[in-house]
Amino acid sequence: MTEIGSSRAWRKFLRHRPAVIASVVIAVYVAVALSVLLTGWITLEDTSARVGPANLPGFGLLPDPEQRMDNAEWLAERIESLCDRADPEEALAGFRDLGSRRLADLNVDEFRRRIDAIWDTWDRLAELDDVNEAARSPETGPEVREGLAELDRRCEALLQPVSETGSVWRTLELLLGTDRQGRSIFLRAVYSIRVAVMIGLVTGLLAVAIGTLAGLAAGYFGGITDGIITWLYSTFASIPGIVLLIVLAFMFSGGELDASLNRVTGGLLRTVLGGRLDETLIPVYISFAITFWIGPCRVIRGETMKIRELEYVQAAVVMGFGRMRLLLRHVLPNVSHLMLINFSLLFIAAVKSEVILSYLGLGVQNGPSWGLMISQSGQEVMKGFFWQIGSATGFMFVLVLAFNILTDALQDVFDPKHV
Amino acid sequence: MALLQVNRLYKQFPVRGGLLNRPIGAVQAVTDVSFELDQGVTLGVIGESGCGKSTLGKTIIGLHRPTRGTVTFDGVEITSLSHRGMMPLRRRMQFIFQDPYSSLNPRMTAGQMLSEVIRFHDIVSPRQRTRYIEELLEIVQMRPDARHRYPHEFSGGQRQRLNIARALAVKPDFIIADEPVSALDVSVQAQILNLLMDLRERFGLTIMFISHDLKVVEHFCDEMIVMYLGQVMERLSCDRIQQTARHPYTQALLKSNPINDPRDRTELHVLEGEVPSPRNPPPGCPFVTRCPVAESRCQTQRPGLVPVGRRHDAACWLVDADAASAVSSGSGKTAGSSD
Repeated sequence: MTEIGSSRAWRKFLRHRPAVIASVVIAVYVAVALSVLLTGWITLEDTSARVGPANLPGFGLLPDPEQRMDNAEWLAERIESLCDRADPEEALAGFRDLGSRRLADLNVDEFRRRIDAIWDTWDRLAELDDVNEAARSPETGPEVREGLAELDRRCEALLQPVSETGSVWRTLELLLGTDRQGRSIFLRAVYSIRVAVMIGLVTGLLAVAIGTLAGLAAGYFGGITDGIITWLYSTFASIPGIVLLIVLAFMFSGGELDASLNRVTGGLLRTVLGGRLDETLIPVYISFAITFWIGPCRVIRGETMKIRELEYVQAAVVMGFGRMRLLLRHVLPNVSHLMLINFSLLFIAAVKSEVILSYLGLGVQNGPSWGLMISQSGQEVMKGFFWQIGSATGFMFVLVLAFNILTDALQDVFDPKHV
Repeated sequence: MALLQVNRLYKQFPVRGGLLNRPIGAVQAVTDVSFELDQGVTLGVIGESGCGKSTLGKTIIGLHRPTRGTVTFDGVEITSLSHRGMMPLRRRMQFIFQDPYSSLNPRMTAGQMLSEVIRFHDIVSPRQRTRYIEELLEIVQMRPDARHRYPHEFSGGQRQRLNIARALAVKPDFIIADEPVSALDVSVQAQILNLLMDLRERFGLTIMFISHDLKVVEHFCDEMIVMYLGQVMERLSCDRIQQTARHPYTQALLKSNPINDPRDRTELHVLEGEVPSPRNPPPGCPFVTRCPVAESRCQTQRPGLVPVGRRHDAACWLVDADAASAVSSGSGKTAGSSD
């Protein structure tokens, strides 16, 4: 049998090229998640702030002519309304709807003058029946495209030029376009890595820990302990996983459980969490751990029953070793490869389930997640805008694929029959 | 007084079944086994597979709780002792397992394994531990650097040496060896047997040697017990067993042994029939279904173990008839009767 940490296991693993690549991919995801968590280079505010017009395509692609006009109209109207305020200077200085870009340092009259210039061009283009058609046709095409370019230049004239350092951030903000509310899809998708990795890690660890303890106890002690644990997981396993998840998520949602827990504990929960229970990821962790411990428990129970009868365990009994020593030194190390494989399986399961729950509005409640992004992209997809749903599923796909490849490789490495 | 006394030991395993998993029967693994073992004697336990010889060993060492009967070690009855009460005796009794591939924890190096045992039983002071481990490896004829290696890096013979080293680590008086060589190549078998014989001399060990190989037992042991279907058929000295064996089963075993010289070969004696199920043993002599000389009373009445010579007992009505005088004199070592 191949053992965790042995040089043989390592060699076998390193020979498995796709698995090595998958590990690198996972490492990058985890590193990004950690960097977001620790340095906060993307904040929650960054992900919820408008960075530009709605539904901009990614990779710096130009929207179609009609949308370019809509975007110009949106910007002109926004600034115009600010100029009409009682304190226009202050309102203009507080304008943040273009992400990291700032308005040019101009007085109100100058803004009005430049906006009028935008409207001039806009009106000229608006006289056309169908801008998209006109931009394509050979006769009017050059003129319309020139008009659109002018429109963009005049919009640009409202803003400060982009600085060297600012341009990198601006590129990131618009890398994958913007969603229906003009928020950066890239920043939201990257911030969601943090959520996905945290949910994967925490629920994976929790479920494997609970499953291992229960499985060891059931497999080793047998009898009534085994009966209770087997009954418990059979009961849980007889409820379809996703239904159980939804029920548990409902239990936490709405803040009623939070309120009653706080009543019982005298507000202790609120002090510890610094907020409401249903606004943290804790309900997700709990419901996932309750659903997911069954897998590792079953596998480890079976393996423990097998190992218990092996002669090295009996030899340890003959030596007079206590139960704790037997379990921790002689049984646990010999099921640890199963813990590793199950962890990586549950990580994927947790990431995928989070997406489903969040899609249903029961998972992550505040801040972005891939599931929320997919859920919010429904109307965009109908309009033919695929950047948001594509980014969310793409980010998730790469992570899940990498974990699947890794799990396969781990199973091969620890399979005693596989040389 | 004998070092080990086994008195009317029974071990039954319940057979569960049905909807509620209730016991619906029992496998009679060990039935009414009694014997004594003196200090320094090597006792062979021989029998076909499934005859309960391993169960007997494991029940004596405490891996199984006996259904009935007692085991007394050095004057202390150990069958009723608690885990804690048993602790001082654990050091003195050790077990060598059959399968060298499953008897070592794959996650521990040889050194870690020995060190755990030594620390747990506090055999030597911490400073002497490494020295003692190297000494142990040397005793079982392994190189001292073997202690850094994991079980999968060793051959079957080397693993069995490590098993012996583990058993010796606590400096025991008594060792039960459960078919210690049957999983090994013949050449390696001889090495391990020679090693065990050296160690027996060197440490004055008392050994209970479980085997299905009559040749090995004859060579290695002083006395032997022949078991069939959980019961003792005959107990005899290992000297000249060809001549002294009285029980038809022992004689059948002797005849089925391979003969070295082809010129000595006569017709091959093969026992007819099947071993009865231990769930449902015959009411009389367990061997009756295959016995070439069985009589009608063998079907219904179980023969007890009776003395038939000096340090020689047998459980057979026909042997009994030959040694009627011995029965009437009724030596104290007689154990077992028809229940």
